[in-house]
Amino acid sequence: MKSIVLALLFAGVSLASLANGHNPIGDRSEKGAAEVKYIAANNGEFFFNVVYNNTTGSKFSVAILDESGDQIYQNFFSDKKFDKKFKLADPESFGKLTFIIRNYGDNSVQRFEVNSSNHLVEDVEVKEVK
Amino acid sequence: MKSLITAHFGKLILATTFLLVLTTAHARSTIANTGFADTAATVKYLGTQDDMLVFNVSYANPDGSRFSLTVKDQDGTQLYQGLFNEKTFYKQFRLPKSDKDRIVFVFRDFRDADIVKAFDVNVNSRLIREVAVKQIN
Repeated sequence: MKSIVLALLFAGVSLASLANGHNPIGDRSEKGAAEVKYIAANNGEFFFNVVYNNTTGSKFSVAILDESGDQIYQNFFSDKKFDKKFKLADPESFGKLTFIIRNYGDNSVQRFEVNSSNHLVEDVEVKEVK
Repeated sequence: MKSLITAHFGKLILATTFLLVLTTAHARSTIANTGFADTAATVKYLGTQDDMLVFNVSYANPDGSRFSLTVKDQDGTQLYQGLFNEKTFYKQFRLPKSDKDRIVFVFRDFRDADIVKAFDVNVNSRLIREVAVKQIN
C-alpha cells in the first residue's frame, strides 16, 4: 500500500519536459542509450533527469524501484526523444533507487542505480565578546 | 527530583569530560610582564580539532601570587576551575562544541577585579547529500 502511495506521489510530482525541437541533453545521448542524471537545485531540492533517445519511436517503460525493490513509479511512453525530470515525493528518506528503462521494440533493458549518502558538516564560528 | 539528580549528574559528567581533555603545558617565556592588568590574561581560540573547541590560555603572574581560573558556559555552569601560582601560566583547553553558545574564562587574583574573557560560539550544521548514478547493465 505504501508503495502505491509513493508511486502516486512520484507520478504526481514528476515534471514533464518532453523534448521539443532542439534538445541539447538528448543530443548527447547515444542512439538508443538512456541517461539518468542527478540534478541538485540551489534551494536544496533535487530531481532526476531521464533522457532516452528512442529513435524508432517504439513503446518503452520507465520504472523506478526503491531500495527494497518495490516499484514506486512506472509509466509507458513512445517519445522519440524522451527527456523527463522526476522529483521524489519524500526526498529525505531516499537512500537507493533503481531506474529501469525497458524498450518493448527491441527488448532492451537499461538499469541505473542511484545511491545517496548524507554527511553532516558543521561550520564553527567563535568570536571574542569585547 | 529524579530529573534534578539527572541534570546535576549530567553537568558533573560534562565537567569531568572537560577536565579529562584538559591538557597542560608549561609556561612560555614570551608572555609580557604586565602585572594584573587585563592584558595579563590572553585567551586565544585556535580552532576545532576532533569536534572540540581548542583554546590557548595564558596568564602573566610576575609576583607568583595565587590566582584562579574558572571556565563557564552560557548558563553559568562551571566547566572547570583551578588554582595556580605560576609566574607564567599556560594551558590548552579542549571543549566539546555541542550545546555551547558561550564560553567564559574568568581570571581572579583575589585582589583586583576579575578579568573576564568571553567567546560566542556559533555552530551551523548542514547536511550534504552525495549522490552517485551508475549504469548497471
